[in-house]
Amino acid sequence: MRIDVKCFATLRGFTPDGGQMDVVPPLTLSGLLEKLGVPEKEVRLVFVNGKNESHWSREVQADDRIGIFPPVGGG
Amino acid sequence: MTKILRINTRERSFRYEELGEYAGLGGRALTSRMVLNEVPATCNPIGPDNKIVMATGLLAGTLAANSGRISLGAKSPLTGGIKESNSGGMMALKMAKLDLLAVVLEDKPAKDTPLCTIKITKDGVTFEDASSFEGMGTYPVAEQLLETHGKKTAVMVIGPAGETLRLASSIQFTDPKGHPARAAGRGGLGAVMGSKRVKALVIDDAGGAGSEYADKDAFKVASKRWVEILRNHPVTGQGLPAFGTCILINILNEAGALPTKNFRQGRFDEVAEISGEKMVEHMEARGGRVKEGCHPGCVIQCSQSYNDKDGKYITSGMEYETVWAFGSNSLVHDIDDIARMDRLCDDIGVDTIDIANAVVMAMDGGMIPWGDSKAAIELLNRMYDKKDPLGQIIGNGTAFAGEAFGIDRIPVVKRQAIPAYDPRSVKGVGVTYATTPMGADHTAGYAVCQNILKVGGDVDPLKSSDENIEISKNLQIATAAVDATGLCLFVAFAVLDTEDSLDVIAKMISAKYGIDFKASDVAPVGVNILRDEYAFNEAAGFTKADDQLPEFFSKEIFPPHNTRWEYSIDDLQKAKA
Repeated sequence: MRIDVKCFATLRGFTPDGGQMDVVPPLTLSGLLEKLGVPEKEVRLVFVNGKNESHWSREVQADDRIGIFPPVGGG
Repeated sequence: MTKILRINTRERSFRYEELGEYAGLGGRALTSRMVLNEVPATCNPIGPDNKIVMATGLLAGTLAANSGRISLGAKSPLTGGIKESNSGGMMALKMAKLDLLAVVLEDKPAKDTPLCTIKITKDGVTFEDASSFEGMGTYPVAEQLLETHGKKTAVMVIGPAGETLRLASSIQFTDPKGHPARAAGRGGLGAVMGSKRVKALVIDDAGGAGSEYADKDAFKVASKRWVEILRNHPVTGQGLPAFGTCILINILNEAGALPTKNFRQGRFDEVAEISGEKMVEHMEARGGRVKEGCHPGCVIQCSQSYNDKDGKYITSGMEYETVWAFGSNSLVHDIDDIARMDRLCDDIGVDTIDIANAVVMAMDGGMIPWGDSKAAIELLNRMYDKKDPLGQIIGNGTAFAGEAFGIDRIPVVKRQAIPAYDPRSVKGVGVTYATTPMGADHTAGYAVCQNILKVGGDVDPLKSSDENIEISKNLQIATAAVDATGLCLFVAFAVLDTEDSLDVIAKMISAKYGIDFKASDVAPVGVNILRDEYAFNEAAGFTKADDQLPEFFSKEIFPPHNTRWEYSIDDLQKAKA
C-alpha cells in the first residue's frame, strides 16, 4: 500500500524518493523508521495525518501522511 | 551600587537613583511594577505621562549563559494596555557593566523638537542633535553611530516608523555584528520613543566595572551546570543552532496548524520553499551563517545571517513568525523576497508580525494580489514616506489596516496581531493569545511546547480541554518569571525537560545577590508580574470581554482538522494567575 512519508531537519536525508513509498502491512511506525534507516533515538515527533502519534506501535494505513522530526524548538 | 537612570526628554536632563521600592526586581518584574506605579493607566501613550522603562534582568552582566535579554515596558500605543517587549542585542550587557538596572525615558518635548541621540557613559548622559537622522532607516543610522562612538558601543534606535508614531513601530537593537536586527518588536514602543523625540540611545560601557558577585565560586559552579543543561538538551543544544526557529514552518504545516491565506487553512502547498531546511540550504551555498547568537553569552545560537544568491548580506534574525506571516499567510513562497521584507521591517523599525499581517489585510482587501511578494515589498517601502497615506496605514498594523480595507475577519487580540499558530488547532497557545495582558502573543505562554513539540508534556492541541487552559496558565507564570531574570525564553525548552534546572537558576540568583532564592520562589515572581499587569489593564479599562479571540475563529471551520474555537469568556478566565 502507498503511504506519504517525509523526514525533516537533520533527518531529511531519510525521506524516500518523491516523499512516497509502497509498504506491505502490517507495518508499525517503529517498523517504518527501521525500514527507512532512521535511528529511533533521533526521532522526537511522528505526525500521522497531522496529529502527533506517541505510540509508535501503531500500524500504518493506506494513504497515511507521515512526518518525522527530530527534537526541535522555536518561537 | 546598582542604580536606576532617569532621563527627562523634555528638559534633556538626567538623574541617578537608588533602587528603593524596586530593589529585588529585574527585567519584566521591574518594568511592569514601574509602569503600574508611575504611568497613569488612562494616559495618552504618546503623551508626556507615558514612560519607556528599559530594564536588564537579575542575571544581566553575569557569567550565566543566555542572560543578556532586555525588557522594555510602557503603555502600548497599539493595545492601550501594558506592554513588556523583550529583545536581544548588546544593550543589557553594557547597562550591567555601568551598573544600571534600568534606564527610564520620561516626559516629552514639543512635537517639532529636533530629534536627539542620548549618549550614556560612565560619566553621565549627553544629548546630541540627531536632525540629520530624520527619516533615516535604522541600518544607516546604526552604522553611523557605531562609526562615531565606537564599534563596541550598544545602539538602540527607531526607524522612520517610530518617528511618525506608527502603532506597530519597533525599537531596534544592534547585535554582536553591529546590525540593528534585534527588535523590541511588539506593541508600538517605537512610537513612544518617537513621541519623546529620541532617535537613538548609545551606551559606551568603557571604564564600567559592573557589580560584584556575593559568592563568585558558588556562582561558577551553578553556571557550569547551567551551560551543561543548555548544551545537553536536544532542542537548545542541536535543533535550534542547526535550523533556527524556521524549522517550525514544516512542523506546523505537518500538524495542519500553519495559518495560510489569512488564517483560512492550516497547510500551505509551497511550504518547502519557505522552510527552515530551504534557508539552511541557501545559507550553506551562499555564505551567511547558519547559527548566530543575538547577544554575548548565548550558547543556543538560534539566529542566522542570510545572504542573497550573489552572497550579499540581506538580513539577520529572520525568524519563524516573520517567514510565516510574509510567507504562507500571504501566499508568498519566495524566501529571498521574504528575507528582503525582514530587512525592510528592521530598517523601517516595525514589528514583522503586525506589519506582515497588515500586508495580508491589504491582500484580503484587494489592494495587492495574494502571493505577490514584489507588490508586498513595494507596499512596505511606502512606510519610509511620512506623506504616503497607504504607507502610514500599513505602519499602523493589522487592526488599523484591516479596518481601513473593510476586512471582516481581522486576526488580532487587544488589537495586536495573532502569531504563527492557528488557535483552533493549537488550543493551548490560543488560550494564551486571549488571556495574556500583552495582547495576542505567543511567547507569553508558549503552549506550542506541549501541544506540538512534546516538550514539557503532551497535550492534544485540537481539544478544548481544561488541560489546555492549565498549560497556558502555568506557562504564562513561568515565562513572566524567566523574563525577570534576563534569560532568553528559549532556555525554557531545556528547563521544562530538565529536573534540576530551576534549582540551578535559583542558585545563580542566590550566589549573585547573597540571598536564599529557591526554586519554589520562581513561580511567585511570575504571579506577581501578571498581577501587576492585570491591575494596569483593568485600570486602563480592559474587561474580561477583551480576553477572547475574534468571532470568526468560533464560526469558521479550520481545515485540515476542521476545528473551531470553542472556549467561552468565562472558561478562559481560569487561565488567569
